[in-house]
Amino acid sequence: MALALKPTISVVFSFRDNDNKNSTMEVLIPGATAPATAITFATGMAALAVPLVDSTLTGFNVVIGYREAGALVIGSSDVENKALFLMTAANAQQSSVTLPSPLESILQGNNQDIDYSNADVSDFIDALTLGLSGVQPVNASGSDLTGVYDGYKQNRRSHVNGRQRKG
Amino acid sequence: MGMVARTHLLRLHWRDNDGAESWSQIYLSAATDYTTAIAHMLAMRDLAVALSSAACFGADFSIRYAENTAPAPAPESDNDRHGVLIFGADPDLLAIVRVPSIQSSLLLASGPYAGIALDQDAPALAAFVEALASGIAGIAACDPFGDDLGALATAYMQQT
Repeated sequence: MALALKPTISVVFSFRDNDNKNSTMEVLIPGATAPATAITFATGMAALAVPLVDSTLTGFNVVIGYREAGALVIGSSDVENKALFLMTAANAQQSSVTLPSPLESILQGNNQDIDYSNADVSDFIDALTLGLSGVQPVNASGSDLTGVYDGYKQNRRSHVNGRQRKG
Repeated sequence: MGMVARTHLLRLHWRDNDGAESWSQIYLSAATDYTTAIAHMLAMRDLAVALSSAACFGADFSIRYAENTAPAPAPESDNDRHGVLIFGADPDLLAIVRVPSIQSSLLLASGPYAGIALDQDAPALAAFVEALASGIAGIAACDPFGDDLGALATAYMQQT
């Protein structure tokens, strides 16, 4: 399967009102726009949007998306089952990375714990903790991920196209 | 007010064989250059695909900024009150930009659409629309298909 760049980049501005309700404004720009130019556009639009509203601009995201270009072929799977990797970080804060619908082959014999001796698992964890393509993943506060202190399968509710899943 | 860069967010989107969807997310340092971060995301996706029986149908790279000294919202602010800007001439290809908590002062004060339609001649609104249609830094907004927005067709307030 190959991913293709979406035809548009989504620039999403976030606003908070007096009741602490959050809302967003989305502006699309061409997908071929360079990321740095998209940031310039977003900053400029933010400055023009603020005089239009009486809520508070709290931030913006520039989202560059890729989607599968071909037809999806999906075998037996269930994204409500997740492989949960509990991570340690250089700032001693814990975080997690989840992977939906883990293959049974990456679980230990108890069908619950992650099998760290599996080569694909090892590659994935190394990419998280040692880096990949010259980039080191971090936790939400920006501290390098340094290791995995636990990994197991967990069941969590998922959604269908943003709606609550039935059943 | 100051916008500060947050960690980049990589999100992989998954779908299983009964249509349920989920995602994985990974953060990268805000100092990571964008091209390298995208290459990392696509390489990480290849590693993740080898671990899952679901289909990874998409990947999003988010460059995130947050206001670190945001002022308090005005007492009359209400994010359920939107300014709706509709662009384009072809009814099948209209594009919409919705502005939360639009200032009431931007509504027409007289005429049949008073209190409903936005005053397109108001300088702040005109500047915003001009930036969307004509661009900033050489980039103009577009519709979901990547085509130009076209001219503003109508603009009104909507309570949702």
